[in-house]
Amino acid sequence: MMGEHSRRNLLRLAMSTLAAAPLACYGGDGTATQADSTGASEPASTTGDDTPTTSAGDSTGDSTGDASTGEPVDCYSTRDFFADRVWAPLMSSNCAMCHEPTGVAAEKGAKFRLLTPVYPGFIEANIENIKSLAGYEYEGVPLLLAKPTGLVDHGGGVQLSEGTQVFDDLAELIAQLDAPVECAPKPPSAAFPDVSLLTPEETLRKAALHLVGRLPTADERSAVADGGEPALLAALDAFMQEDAFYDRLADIYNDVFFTDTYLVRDGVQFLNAATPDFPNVTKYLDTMNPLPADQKARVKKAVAREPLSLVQYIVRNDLPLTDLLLAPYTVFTPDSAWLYGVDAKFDDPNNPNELQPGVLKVTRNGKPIEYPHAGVLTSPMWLNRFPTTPTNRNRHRARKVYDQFLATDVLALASQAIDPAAGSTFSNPTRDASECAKCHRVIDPIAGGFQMFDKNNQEFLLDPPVWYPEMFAPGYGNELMPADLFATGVRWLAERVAADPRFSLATTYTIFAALTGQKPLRYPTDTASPDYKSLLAAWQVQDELLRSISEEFIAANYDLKLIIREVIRGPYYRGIGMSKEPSAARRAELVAVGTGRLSTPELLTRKIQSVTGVRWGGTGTDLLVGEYKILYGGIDSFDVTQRLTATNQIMAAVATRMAIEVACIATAFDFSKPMAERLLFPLVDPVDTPDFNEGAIRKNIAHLHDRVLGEVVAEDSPEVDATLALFYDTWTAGVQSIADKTETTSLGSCQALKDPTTNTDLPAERQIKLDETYAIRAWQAVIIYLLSDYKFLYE
Amino acid sequence: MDRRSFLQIAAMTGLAVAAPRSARALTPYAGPFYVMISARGGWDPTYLCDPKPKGGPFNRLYDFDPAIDKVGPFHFADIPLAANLVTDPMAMQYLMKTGDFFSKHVNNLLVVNGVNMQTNNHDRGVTTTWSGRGDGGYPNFAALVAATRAPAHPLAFISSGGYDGTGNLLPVTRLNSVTSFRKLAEPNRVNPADPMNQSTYVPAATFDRIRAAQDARLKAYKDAQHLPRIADSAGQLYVARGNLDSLSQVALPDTLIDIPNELSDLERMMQQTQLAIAAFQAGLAVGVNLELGGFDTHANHDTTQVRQLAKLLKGIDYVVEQATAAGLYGDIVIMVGSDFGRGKGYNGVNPGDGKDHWPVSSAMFLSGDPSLIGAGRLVGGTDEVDQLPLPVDPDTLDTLEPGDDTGVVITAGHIHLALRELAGISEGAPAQKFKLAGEILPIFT
Repeated sequence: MMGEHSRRNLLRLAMSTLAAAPLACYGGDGTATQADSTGASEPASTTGDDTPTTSAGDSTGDSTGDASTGEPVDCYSTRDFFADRVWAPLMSSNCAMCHEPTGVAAEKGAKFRLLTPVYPGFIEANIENIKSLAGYEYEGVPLLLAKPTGLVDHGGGVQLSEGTQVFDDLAELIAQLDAPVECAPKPPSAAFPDVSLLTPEETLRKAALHLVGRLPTADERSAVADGGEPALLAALDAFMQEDAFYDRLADIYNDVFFTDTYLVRDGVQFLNAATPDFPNVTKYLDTMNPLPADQKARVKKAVAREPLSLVQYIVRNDLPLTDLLLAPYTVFTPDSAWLYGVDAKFDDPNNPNELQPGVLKVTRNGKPIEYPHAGVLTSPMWLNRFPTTPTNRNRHRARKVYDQFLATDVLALASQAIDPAAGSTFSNPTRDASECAKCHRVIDPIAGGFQMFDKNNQEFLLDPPVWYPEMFAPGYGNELMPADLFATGVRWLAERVAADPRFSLATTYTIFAALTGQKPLRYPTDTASPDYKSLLAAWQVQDELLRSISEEFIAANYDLKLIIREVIRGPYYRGIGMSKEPSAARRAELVAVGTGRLSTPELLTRKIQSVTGVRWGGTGTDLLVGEYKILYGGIDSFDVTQRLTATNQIMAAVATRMAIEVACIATAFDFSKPMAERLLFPLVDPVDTPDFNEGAIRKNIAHLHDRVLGEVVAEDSPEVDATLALFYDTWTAGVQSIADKTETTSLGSCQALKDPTTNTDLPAERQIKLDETYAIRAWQAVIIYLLSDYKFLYE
Repeated sequence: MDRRSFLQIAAMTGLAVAAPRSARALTPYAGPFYVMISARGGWDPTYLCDPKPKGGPFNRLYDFDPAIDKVGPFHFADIPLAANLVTDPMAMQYLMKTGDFFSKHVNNLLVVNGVNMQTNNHDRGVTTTWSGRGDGGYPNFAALVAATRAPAHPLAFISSGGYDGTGNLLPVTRLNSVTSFRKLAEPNRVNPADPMNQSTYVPAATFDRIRAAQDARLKAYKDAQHLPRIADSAGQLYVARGNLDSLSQVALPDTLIDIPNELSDLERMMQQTQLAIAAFQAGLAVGVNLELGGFDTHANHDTTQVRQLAKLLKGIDYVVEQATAAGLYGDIVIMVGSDFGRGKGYNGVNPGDGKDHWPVSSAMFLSGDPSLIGAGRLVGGTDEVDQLPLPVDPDTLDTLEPGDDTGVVITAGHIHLALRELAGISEGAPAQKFKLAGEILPIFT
């Protein structure tokens, strides 16, 4: 058995050897970006046989070049080295179990702390921690090597053996940390050279539908066609000035806050009526002397929408999004200001949509006290949507703070299941039982930030605040909240959350999910999975992009529009195809790339109206956000908060009925307009038939492919041929049916008698009741065909 | 589109295919059917199927005499239902006493007490209860069976709440309205609610022509597409359109049940039951999630928990009645569970105080065919001191003394392993993709 002296010597030798070896990829200033192709002792690729990032290498096993990047790697950063060679094979399993924030070593105060993938940015944080400890040595051996090899006492025993590859890699990492290798950032598309992207014009259409719910104008298309990417960015900026964009923004953040449930459930009813805090709540609720229905509806909407209105106000006024947490105010309409008794000044008190900032006034013990506005965290609706109880003690809200603003799933913190018997021996298990405390240590300090709110009446302000000494003290990370700030401690908390890099990442994640329809990839932890390397590569590329965007977001003073622009520019939003079938490994790497997102009920509703000029539901509630909302995978923000992203049969049936009914409404109606005003049929007359005017029909079909599907095709293309075949077969069969008297010339329930956008009668000369040539019904079939097409339902 | 194309696309989208695409060739699924009933929020088994003596730390509400409050092998919490649990006297008939429930269903019931849920967290608890694992990503049991038995059936897995994770094995379907469903079952019919009006928006031949053109275009697009996300979603749409005609085979009730407004949560559960049974009858569904919330009684436990349990029992009873009326109860397995239990004991001395989360729970199973689940048995238990789970003999399931190392403490994982065996899906590809660790206990035999 090797003696201690010999082991120390070997370790020293190993370190000296590594120190003498030329390290890959960096030069004298420590910020190198180019590999030393002649002397590097380390792999020049993160996608070699053992390393799984997508920055290079051929993961397809296909010599024809269907590779991850199709080009050799030119730089292997210390970050990637750590992720590939140290974290994945060693620290994620052997070390993190005890050294994670809730682990045994952390509990005992170990300085070596490892964040798990639960924490976004965990790789960077772990490198920083290791760097801070790299200087500690035991008789010349770095402590980070001496401990796990058992050279010095280690509570976790021997976890690492000399002479192994991972030992050498850890040693090299320590050496590299003196002058970390940093690689020049690459454009995200560099990781996907085999993926074709939407052109600027195509991206313009998709973004217009996504951001402002309309098709781009001819001028916008022309400008982007001529100006390319810069013109596209300018168009995006213009979109983000439109009112419709702020509606979309509210939708996006409702998927985070779910406060739109109060549009239905009436949020005012959840406010305290028994105190004078909000003087007009009792008037609103008074059934003996009811408010006028229209006023009540406006108040209800304004109160329910307050958290989302705050988001709109911040972005519309180009304020930093950190105000979502830091704003010392919230926003009111004239109606909600009345309800809350807020003294806000409005340019037009009769405009129910005007938003102005204001502060809530509260009196306690005969004296006015400060309502500790901290953006949405103190919103009455947010507080009610995420309620607490006397025993929950704001832990639910703490979890939501982690989830909504720190991109951290605290439920995943506990690496092991709790043992009920373990807590039974403690009178205060959440603090004293290690199994319980490991999570409560993380959750309870943040819960303490909300201590000024009553535990039963959600937005009721306590004076003084009440907290519980048996719980972990209010704070954030390792910092304790000063006791003299408890009354307004939610602000103290908000400042720290807003300054946490995870806030910018969480915001980036929110926008990414909203625009691509999929959550960011999770770090793969199952190293035994056959797809592990590919999944890790997919995660690394996406993580790099999202971190990069979040850093730019910070540099731009938390300008939310920047994130929107950057996500839209990226391959996850714009990927549209590949020239050939990818290998299984490459397929796993590309799992999150590209279009193919099922439109939500809200997005599809706007698209239908924009494309056809009519709404599905006439002048009433749009059916996709009414009757069919849940069936089509939407949410009600209360019972159902998870959108369906995969089409099921019921959803397919909804799409089919939508296409049929919208075609019925829109076809004859569009023909009833003057030709120049038509959206769908500007190039044909309703009597044009294939036997006399096939050319015009072809032209109009090509127009429809463009308008409905965003597909620019030639008049003699196979796509137009196929659509014309449908038109022709329907027309000939219909003409025969009329001749056979199995059908009449009447358009039946699909006549154009009224303007469906106003439900008023059309002038007699514009009304269309008959279809003697059967052409209108043939066009109706074409519209059904296109409205139920994949390219219409997906973006 | 031929069957081969369908199989290729289905395989590409990750679906395990057990049925052909053509509606005419679709073989109705004949059972067994699976109904998962979630008491959302964390129920209190000591107020239901794991009663404790009055005056102890767990029960301040009801008298409990083990010799009297027992039906068959089951002890129950005999809690009187006070008239003030509801405001509308007509609502009282929709609450069911514990004793009445156990008396009625004793021969079709299996109770498992002392289940260590290993969590006090709602989300993790729900995931654990219905998938057998708490760390997410695993499919709900009903979805797992559906993916194994009939993934291409239009309504294979219906969820109206609870944990509806499917592990991407198949899409989840939501149903909430008879009127809407009728419109979707016959999308081309102008007014499906009017049996006298058979008019359609377009002639049937035109509708068929459009669908054929859609299929051809979608297939051409898919064949030319290699980017996985697009190819997958195009495949999903293709598969979803596959058996749309079969939706019209669902014989829906004319109207859904209407009960007093204050019981709207129970009404929703009962209406979902009606839709699910209709889908089972049509052979289009395999499993369904039902949910009743309101069990998170940190306060007002003795009122709210009692009311919700009484509603839950009525809701379960309604499932049994509907299934029996449809002639399906013998082919149905019902599982009732919750996020976790409540306790231990109360969080205050005042009548308005409640009980907090406690990681020890129970599960109940019912079937019209007692032999299917080994009904009429009580498995497991909790101790009288700490409400901790008692170990059981892994072979006989006899309850052992606390701390007996020869025994096994039952977990949700054990229940799901046994459920998979019960359903005969343990060796299927979906179950193999989502393996569970642990030993298979004879819970249902």
